[in-house]
Amino acid sequence: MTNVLTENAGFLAEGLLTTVALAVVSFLGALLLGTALGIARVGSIHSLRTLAALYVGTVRNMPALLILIVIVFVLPEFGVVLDLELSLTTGLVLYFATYVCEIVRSGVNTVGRGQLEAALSLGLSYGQALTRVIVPQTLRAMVQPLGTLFMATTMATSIGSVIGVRELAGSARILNGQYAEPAVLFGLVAVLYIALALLIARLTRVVENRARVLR
Amino acid sequence: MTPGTPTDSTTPIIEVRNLVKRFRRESGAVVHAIDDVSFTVGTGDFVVLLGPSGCGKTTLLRAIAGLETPDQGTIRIGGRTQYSSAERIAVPPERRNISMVFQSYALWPHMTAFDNVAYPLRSRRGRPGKREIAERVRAALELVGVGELERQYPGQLSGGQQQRIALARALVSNDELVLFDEPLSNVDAKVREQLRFELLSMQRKLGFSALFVTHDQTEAMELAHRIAVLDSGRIVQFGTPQEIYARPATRYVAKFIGAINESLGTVAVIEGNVATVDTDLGRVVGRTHGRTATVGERVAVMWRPERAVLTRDEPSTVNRWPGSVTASLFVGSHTEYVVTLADGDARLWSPRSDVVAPGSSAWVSVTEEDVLVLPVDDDAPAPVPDAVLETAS
Repeated sequence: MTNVLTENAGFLAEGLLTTVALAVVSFLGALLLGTALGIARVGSIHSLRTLAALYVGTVRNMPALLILIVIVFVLPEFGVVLDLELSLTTGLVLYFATYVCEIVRSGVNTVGRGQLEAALSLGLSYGQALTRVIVPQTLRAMVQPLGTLFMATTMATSIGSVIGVRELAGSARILNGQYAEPAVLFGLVAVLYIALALLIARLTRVVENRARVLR
Repeated sequence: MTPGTPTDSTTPIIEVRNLVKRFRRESGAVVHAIDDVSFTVGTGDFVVLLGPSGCGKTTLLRAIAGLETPDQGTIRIGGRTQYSSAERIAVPPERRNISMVFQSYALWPHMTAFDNVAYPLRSRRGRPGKREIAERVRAALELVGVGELERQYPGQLSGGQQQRIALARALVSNDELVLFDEPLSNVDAKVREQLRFELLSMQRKLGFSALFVTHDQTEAMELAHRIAVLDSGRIVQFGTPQEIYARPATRYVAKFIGAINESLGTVAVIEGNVATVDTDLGRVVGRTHGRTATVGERVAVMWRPERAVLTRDEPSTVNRWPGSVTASLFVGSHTEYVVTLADGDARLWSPRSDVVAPGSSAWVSVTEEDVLVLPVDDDAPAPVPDAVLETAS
């Protein structure tokens, strides 16, 4: 039993690092796309508002796995072939960006309109008002939900195992095929996922407390 | 011109011409929030926009600030057109070189008091150097009496302190025009009184022009060089506090500013400026103050509580009515009497508290100079706003 773990510690560690890397890259990508979508949804351009709402309404109501299957199996028929890690990252970015969009939208809405008006009436440009007055307050409101979303993104990397990505769950799956020790392997994977979740929760709390002090 | 002295409007800082702003209700009905308003504010003037909730005063202020886009008209600030429907000009708020103080303070919670005040200086074109910014910010904070709070965040401050920071933030840029949107309505009475006094002395010292919105007539009387009284999106009277109090243009203004007694009646005789009116009190003689009145016209005769005289014996004045004292209330500087007359209760204020005891018969008299004769609009009788009821009670 311990043989499985000691002999394959490096392989599992590699899987863990891949999970962390995929989670970080996917989350940052989702953050960028989601913020753009969020700004479009609260902006004054009607067509962008409609497109963003349409995208969010469609993608958020699909399983992440379905999006991944479309990227891996449908896109190649149109000549778009991505490697497995990039396929997983793209799928997660497209999916979780919809949640970031809603977090940004509700975050901006928590900042009273008076804050923007005060900035404009005191001579700040719209850009300055947005970057120096609205966004800093929005970020504070968004810390907790974004932390939760980062956790969800980390857990969702495990669907990569379905298409053969060697992240944490995928590595355990490969080893289980060789050693047939599901309790040990997936027990360890569960412990590692819980450890990651606790680490993210702790990180979120630190950022949130720092933000609260600044208030 | 000495700072704080109102000028005539030959050098206006604000010129508003034929301004209109309409809103569409959910029911589809169109409401005129601003209905063909024109007025000017002279350089160094302190002008108050006064009226009850929903009269359009805040919408008018926001239109001048650029936070609301009117439907028609012209707004000029410092001689420059900021909005013109005809010329299709609408200068954004950040380019109007004005400052504004809000009812909710609108301080930025993630910045210290110092940064809140400094940021307008840091963000404008031709920004001063770091040292000058620091000096000006500290001077502004000292001016409003919160120099020691520069490192605090808004969440750590009281309402009065927050409003002082908001005031410093508006004054630090040395703009010629400062707009105030009911800035004192969220602080308690004692602080409000103190801030009014300080605001006046600051305005005199710095010489900025001020346009101040309030629904509080006492505040308006204390602060203003001139008051614009609004009703349903229109300016119904624009004048000094003394003019508006002593010579209200309409029954609505008379009722809105200060406490007042009124009796309704019909004009019986007109002799120049003097009208004799038949009322339930009998014949009342009063002044029309240049307004045209016709025999048979329905009018209100009105008089201020402090202009009436209460006596035990019948006086020789033309306007004298018998009644009985139903209540007396000693309020320090004077005594308020409620006297029941032939057409209902009248309020009188006397400097003496021993004139007539409650329950006794008495005479009420008012000189004809102190009786206002104002037309009654039968279709829309002037409402008595809450502010008047509070003052009267």
